[in-house]
Amino acid sequence: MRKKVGSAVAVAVLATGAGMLGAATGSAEIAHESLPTKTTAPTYATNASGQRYGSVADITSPDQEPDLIQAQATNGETGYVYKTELDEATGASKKFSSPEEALAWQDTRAGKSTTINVYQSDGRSVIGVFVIQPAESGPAS
Amino acid sequence: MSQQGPEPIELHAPRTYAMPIVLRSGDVMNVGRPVKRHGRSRIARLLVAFSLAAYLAMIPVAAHAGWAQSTVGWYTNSGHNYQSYAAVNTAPGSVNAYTYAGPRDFTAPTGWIGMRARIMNTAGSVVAESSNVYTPQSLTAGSYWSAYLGRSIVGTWYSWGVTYAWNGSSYDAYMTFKSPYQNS
Repeated sequence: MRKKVGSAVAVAVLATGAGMLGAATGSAEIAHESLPTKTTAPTYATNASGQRYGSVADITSPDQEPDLIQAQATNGETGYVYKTELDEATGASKKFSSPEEALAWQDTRAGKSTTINVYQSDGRSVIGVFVIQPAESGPAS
Repeated sequence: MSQQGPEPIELHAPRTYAMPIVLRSGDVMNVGRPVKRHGRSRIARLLVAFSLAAYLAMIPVAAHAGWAQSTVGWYTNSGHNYQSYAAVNTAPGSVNAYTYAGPRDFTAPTGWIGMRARIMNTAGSVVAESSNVYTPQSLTAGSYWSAYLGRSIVGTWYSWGVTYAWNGSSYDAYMTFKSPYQNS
């Protein structure tokens, strides 16, 4: 009886170890796959001003973002930032006519942070601020 | 600027290990007496052990501190193939989010590729976001450029980037895959 239980436990331990080894090996290999094609935009709630608000966690493209994007203010409060203000601060709304123009814009923004308001879902009541940081950047292997 | 974020949370139910009770038709259950089994019971026990081991091996592990990255996403824009991914790196009290983008099979001229980094929390809120970065040099096939930002915060986070590809007259935007969760 003890031998059988012992052998079963030993097999379980070995099999678990093998499984974990396989998982670890798998995680070391970086998977590649095509990005998902754009799907229908998530359904957002609408405030009294007719502005859509919600999380961007389920979007497949930046153009699916709502008018008010769920964000965490620097004081820890959860609210919403205006997409227009966020896009202006990140440069997402810029209509560059050439890569050179984009690079020139980048030079003007070097090292500068931008602070925008965080609102309640009504889009009016300010509950904090959100800081768009200048990105560090560099080549990567 | 620093702040205190939510407490780290477990992302899965705690592991509990319970030995299954398996009764077979060949078992003779007599109180106070040894249980008799047929020879095939050993095979059944081994199968149970294998099943249990396989199940345990498939349970996702909790978010940890350290480096984690998303699947590399491939996309084609104006006949050119690109690749991108998001990564997050955490240590106690701090998190860094990275967005990587580069050409797959051609040399991308200066400024052709853009990107920005985002830190997201488990509630789906954007916690931090960088401004856009455009490649200040040409990139050869298979190489990457990165944009990253960091915050001194405590909690559970993932990274999710936006990348841009020049189509000849404007930039088209693509989301990266999301990185796994990591705790800080």
